[in-house]
Amino acid sequence: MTPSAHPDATPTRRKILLVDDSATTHMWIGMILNKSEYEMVSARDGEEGVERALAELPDLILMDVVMPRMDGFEACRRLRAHRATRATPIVMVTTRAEAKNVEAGFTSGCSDYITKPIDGLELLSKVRSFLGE
Amino acid sequence: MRHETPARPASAAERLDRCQAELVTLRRRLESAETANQRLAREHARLDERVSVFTRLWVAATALHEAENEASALRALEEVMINLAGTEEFGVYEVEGSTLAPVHTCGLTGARRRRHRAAGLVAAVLSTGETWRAASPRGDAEGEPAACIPLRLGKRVAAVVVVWRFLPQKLAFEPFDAELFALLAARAVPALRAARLLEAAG
Repeated sequence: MTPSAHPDATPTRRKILLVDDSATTHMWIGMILNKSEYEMVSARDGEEGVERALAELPDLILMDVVMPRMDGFEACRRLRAHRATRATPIVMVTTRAEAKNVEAGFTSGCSDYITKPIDGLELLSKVRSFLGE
Repeated sequence: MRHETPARPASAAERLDRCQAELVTLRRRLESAETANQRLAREHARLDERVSVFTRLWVAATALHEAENEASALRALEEVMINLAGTEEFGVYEVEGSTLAPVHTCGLTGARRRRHRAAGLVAAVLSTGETWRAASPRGDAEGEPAACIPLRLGKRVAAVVVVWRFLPQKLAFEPFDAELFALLAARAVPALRAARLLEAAG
């Protein structure tokens, strides 16, 4: 039996990186994820998001689109160029649900998207689906 | 010595009758448990929804009251309007008599970004002090607001949020919207004024 499979071992919380420049989004998503026992790490723009993703190697990334310094599409492209984050699920969190924006997200390498205002149940459903829960 | 007659073994038909009676009882209990389970599931969903509403209201109130200057208070209000209410185009105006002075706008152009006299629905909202919203987020008529929230300081309407357009993916209002608008009506101006005072106090 491996140490991680020991029945007394504390289960590891899955780690989710939220990249968004909005304080309210951090509070709201933080409460949804913490209630569901995920560990949330944060970044406030695309550039910081790429750095944190490479340092933390999260199980999933929630990525806003419009952010200062580097937008979500560019951050997504950069993450897909790194071996360590090439396969990490990236869910775009966007206010714009028009086809061209959604297409731009998928072209940049995102795995899926959800729109604002965020529905807590929809968010959790997508997170669980990507994490195979 | 007394001899007792041994009990006659139950016939197959009698045992079948007993099993069928037990089956009927178990089916009734199962139906009852399923009914209770459905009732609890509905109650759980209702409570989940209430927790979600209270959480979002807490986020909105915290964001507004954490601001230490007017710019960050307005930024918090904008985030609440976009991220929690799903608005796309709106303006926050201070009320000066019958004139609206813009203090913050999002997605607006032209006259809606300038000082202007309150008219139509907005004037009616200032007069009644009651929040108004269209039947659906798409709005009732072209050129009219989709929602109008009077922001009170005590009993006086000190400012107003006029929503001209919600995000296209917001297809219907939900109970949370009414509660958020009520919170903003009561708490937004005190939060903005407190932030302004904090800023002035250095």
